Amino acid sequence: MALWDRVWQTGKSMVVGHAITMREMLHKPVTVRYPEEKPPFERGSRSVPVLKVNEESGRLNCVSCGLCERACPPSCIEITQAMDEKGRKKPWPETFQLDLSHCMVCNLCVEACPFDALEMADVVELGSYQVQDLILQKGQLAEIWKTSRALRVAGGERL
Amino acid sequence: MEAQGGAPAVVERDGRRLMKINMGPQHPSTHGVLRLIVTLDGEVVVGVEPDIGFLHRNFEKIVEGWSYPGIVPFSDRNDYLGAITNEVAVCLAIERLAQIEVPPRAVYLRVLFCELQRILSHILFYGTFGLDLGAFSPFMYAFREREWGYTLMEKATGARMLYAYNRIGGLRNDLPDEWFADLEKFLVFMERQAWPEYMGLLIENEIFRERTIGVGKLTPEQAIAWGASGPVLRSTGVAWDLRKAAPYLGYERFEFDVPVGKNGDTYDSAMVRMLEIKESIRIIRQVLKMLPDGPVLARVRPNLRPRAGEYYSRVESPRGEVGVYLVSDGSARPYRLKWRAPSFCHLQLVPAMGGGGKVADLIAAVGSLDVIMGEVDR
Amino acid sequence: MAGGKDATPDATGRGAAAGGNSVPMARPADSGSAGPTVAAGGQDAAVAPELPTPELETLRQVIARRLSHLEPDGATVGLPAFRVVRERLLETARQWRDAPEIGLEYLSCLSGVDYRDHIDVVYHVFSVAHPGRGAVLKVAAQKTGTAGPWLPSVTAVWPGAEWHEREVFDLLGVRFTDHPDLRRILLPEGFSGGYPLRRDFSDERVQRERKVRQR
Ligand code: SF4
Ligand code: SF4
Repeated sequence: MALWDRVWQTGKSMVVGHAITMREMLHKPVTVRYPEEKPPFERGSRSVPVLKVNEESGRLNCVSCGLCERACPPSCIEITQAMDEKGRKKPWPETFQLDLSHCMVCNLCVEACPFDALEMADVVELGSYQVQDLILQKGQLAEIWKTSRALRVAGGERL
Repeated sequence: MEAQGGAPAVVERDGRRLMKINMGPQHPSTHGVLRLIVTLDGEVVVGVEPDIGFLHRNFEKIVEGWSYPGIVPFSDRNDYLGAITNEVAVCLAIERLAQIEVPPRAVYLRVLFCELQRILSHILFYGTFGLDLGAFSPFMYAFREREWGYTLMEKATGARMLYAYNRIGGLRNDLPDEWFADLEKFLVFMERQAWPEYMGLLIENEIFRERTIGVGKLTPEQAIAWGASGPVLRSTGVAWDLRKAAPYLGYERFEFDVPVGKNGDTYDSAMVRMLEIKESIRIIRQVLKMLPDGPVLARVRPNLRPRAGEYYSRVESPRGEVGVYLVSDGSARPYRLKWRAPSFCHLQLVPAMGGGGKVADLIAAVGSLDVIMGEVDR
Repeated sequence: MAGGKDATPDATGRGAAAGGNSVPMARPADSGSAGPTVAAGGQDAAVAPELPTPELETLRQVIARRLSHLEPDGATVGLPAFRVVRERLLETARQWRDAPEIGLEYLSCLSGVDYRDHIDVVYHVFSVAHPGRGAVLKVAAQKTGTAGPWLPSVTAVWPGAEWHEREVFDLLGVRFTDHPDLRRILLPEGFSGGYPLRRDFSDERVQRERKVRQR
């Protein structure tokens, strides 16, 4: 009795299981062979904060106000303000460093920036073998922004 | 602790030769860096002792030096498969102390995302639990839907796992209309195709039933005494769900059932999770019907200072009860924030569940607890 | 409610320069001498914490009536809170669990909070049989004395407290007497840098050099 029940159950499980896998065989594969093929980057996805460059002037939008520095929870942004020879403040950053090894991609700095100078990039392959290489300077950040924008213009506007 | 790498330690006890071996910290079936020190008599488990702390980063100390808005994205890292529920738990605590009114649309969307998160987490549980028991195909099926769900999440929140989507006072951004259409497609697929496939491939499979029924049994008394919650507690037959017992986010407005098990074994706990997927789909459907219009983020001072006081907020995460005990001294940083992680409490049950069985049953027991080491070690 | 807090040893000057990784906090002018648990003088003074449901209000009255040795504690929002002396902790825990009209059998959370001169251990307990019930029990472990802060363990009442107490022992250095297995749990074995969750902890270990300055 119990034995027959178990035989019946086992047989049924095998038939059901095979039927499901057979049916799935007829479908297109859903996997993407990653390094060769890249899955689409979704609109509104974010990777790291980068500095925007003004289209007309070719300079950074950033005026070095330091609000993003203060908003960043793990304090991975460091800005020093530009000064001219007389010691007057200039509205752009002398240095702008972003420590990617600490950044948690939370978007808080972008939200804090009142000058639309920061944006989340669409570039994800930023890994490196050295931690030091993960500390990005303002030039590098602007470069990443340009690559990312080129990708995005091809792929549509972001959210 | 004798079993410190190298040859397994052999101990003599009552004339039996017992062996102490390490399972983990790097072991495919321990779900992260969990180390189990297992005492074996042949293949029978005589004693288990979980050893944790490999992922410890002292979340609670770090946030004492942070201002409130940063805590919300950081809390994602605790239970990284239930990130939204973590964020909601912290936000509820902070909003209660700071007396911030969350706009109704944001509340409904939070419910939606909590439930979507629950579905995704349970799908992964299904896949990895099958993998623990040696069934590989279900894992691939689980990842098919999981990818889809994570893409949905990515479209909405901008990230695939660690969303940083909740803000104090609401949500980061509203959603476009197409997103809801995509979500509906996903739900229909889950209901019509994926869920029956899951049942046929694994849960109703005779081998799976043999491996799990009667394994890792818990009694309701044990579960309550040891602080179990979520599906683990419900699998013992206790209908305890914070969404019903202590409704937050207005869960009392929605109609859903709390699935419970009977025997408290690993089969029941898997079954409870499978049924919860259906209930979550039901809740999401109701949210979509009731979703009001309006803003999703209340205006909050950037330099938020909740009033002095303490609040304990509890949220039903996919794994159980997440609690946030927030002590504020009226300044811009929390005085103390304690994270109550369900997996932390569940791991205490491993000796009770795995002792006396075979090694393979121990793996089933640990797998059925669905522990996330990120929140155990914090 | 607010009066009960006078029993709390005051936590004078605790927000300033707290912990290794935080900076002196700007503080509201009136709270310089009062910790968060002390409402006197603050805007919440003399307001009994309003409990969200009548069931919690009943529970508060039942506990206050039956167990007169408990001091009400006013800092907690949303749950009835009481403070007990260390000597009567175990007895109180038993009563909370076993008395049918209290019946709090589910220990949800056990946390330690450092208040510089003492450590508060806070028990958040709820009831599974009566979902609307829940309460907070606080007990202070004084840092004075040769043995350091210690408390009786409640594992005999709520077995689930075992790991929570180990965690408090590990991170805050409160010893729990009669605990079945009081060892480190989260920190590595042999860690000797003090107790991380105490306010005066500073991390003396060698840090990876950070280019970006820390606030
Ligand atoms: S994304 Fe978050 S962690 Fe990263 S730099 Fe911006 S604020 Fe800091
Ligand atoms: S907030 Fe914007 S403008 Fe101000 S320093 Fe940061 S990036 Fe520059």
